[in-house]
Amino acid sequence: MSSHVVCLHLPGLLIYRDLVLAVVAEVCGTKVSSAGEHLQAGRGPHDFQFEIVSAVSEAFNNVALHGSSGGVVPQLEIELLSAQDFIVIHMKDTGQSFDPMLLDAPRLRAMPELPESGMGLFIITSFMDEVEYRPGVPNVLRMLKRRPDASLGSNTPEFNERNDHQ
Amino acid sequence: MSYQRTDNGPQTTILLQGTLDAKTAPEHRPLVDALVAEKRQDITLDMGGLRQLDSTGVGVIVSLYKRVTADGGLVKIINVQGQPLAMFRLLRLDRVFHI
Repeated sequence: MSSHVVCLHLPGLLIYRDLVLAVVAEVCGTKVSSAGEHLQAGRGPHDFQFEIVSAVSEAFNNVALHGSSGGVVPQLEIELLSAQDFIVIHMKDTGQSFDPMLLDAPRLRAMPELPESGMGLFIITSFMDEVEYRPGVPNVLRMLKRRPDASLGSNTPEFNERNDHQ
Repeated sequence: MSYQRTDNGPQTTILLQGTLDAKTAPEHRPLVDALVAEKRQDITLDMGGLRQLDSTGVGVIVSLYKRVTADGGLVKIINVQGQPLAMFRLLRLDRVFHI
C-alpha cells in the first residue's frame, strides 16, 4: 500500500469534532478492512482504529476546550500520513500551549481510579506509540502509531523541520 | 437527545445513542442530576447504541456511578462495544463495571 496524506484545516470548535473523527476513522480503517483481521490477545481487528480515533479525539478536545485565548478561536491543521507500517498525525494549532512536561509518563501512570477529568493526555500517550509536543506558534503535536502487523524496525518519520513551525 | 430513559418500578434503564463526548456531555449532566435527586437505586446504562466516547463522557458515567453508589445504589453497564470498549479497557472501567 502506498502512503497517502490527508489534511484538514478548520477552526478548533467542537462543532467540527465529528467531522475530524470521521476522517480519522476512515484513514485508519482503510488498511484494516483490506488486510483482514490482525487479532492479538484480547484485541479486535478494529482496535487500531479505535485507539487512534480516541487519541485524536482527546487532542482535539484540548484545543477546542482549552486553546481559546481572549475569545479568539484557535485554528487547527491536522495532517494524517497513512503508510504501510504506521500512521502519523501532526496537529498544529494557534491556541494556548500546554506544558510538555504534562506528558511525563510517571505522572500519567499515577492516574487515580475512577477519574472524572484529566484523562486526556493519559489516553493519548497510552494509545499512541510515540507522542511529542512542541509549544509555540503554532503548537505542534505529533502522534505515531504502528500498525499491528508492522515489520519490526521499520523506518518512521521523525519530528523534523518539515513539520516544525511555519 | 442522545439518550432514552425508561423507568420500570425501581429500575431505570438509560439507552445511550450516538456520542457521549465533550460536545454532548452537557445534555447528559442534567440526567445524572435528576437520577441522583430522584434517588434511583437500580440504574442500567445500555451502551449498545453508543459509537463514540471520550474522556468527558467517561467523566459523566463515573460521576453517575460515584453519586449513585455513595447513596447505596447500583449502576450496571451493558452492551459496551467498539471504541467505547477500548476506552473502558484502558481506564480499567471494565473491571469496575464487570464487563
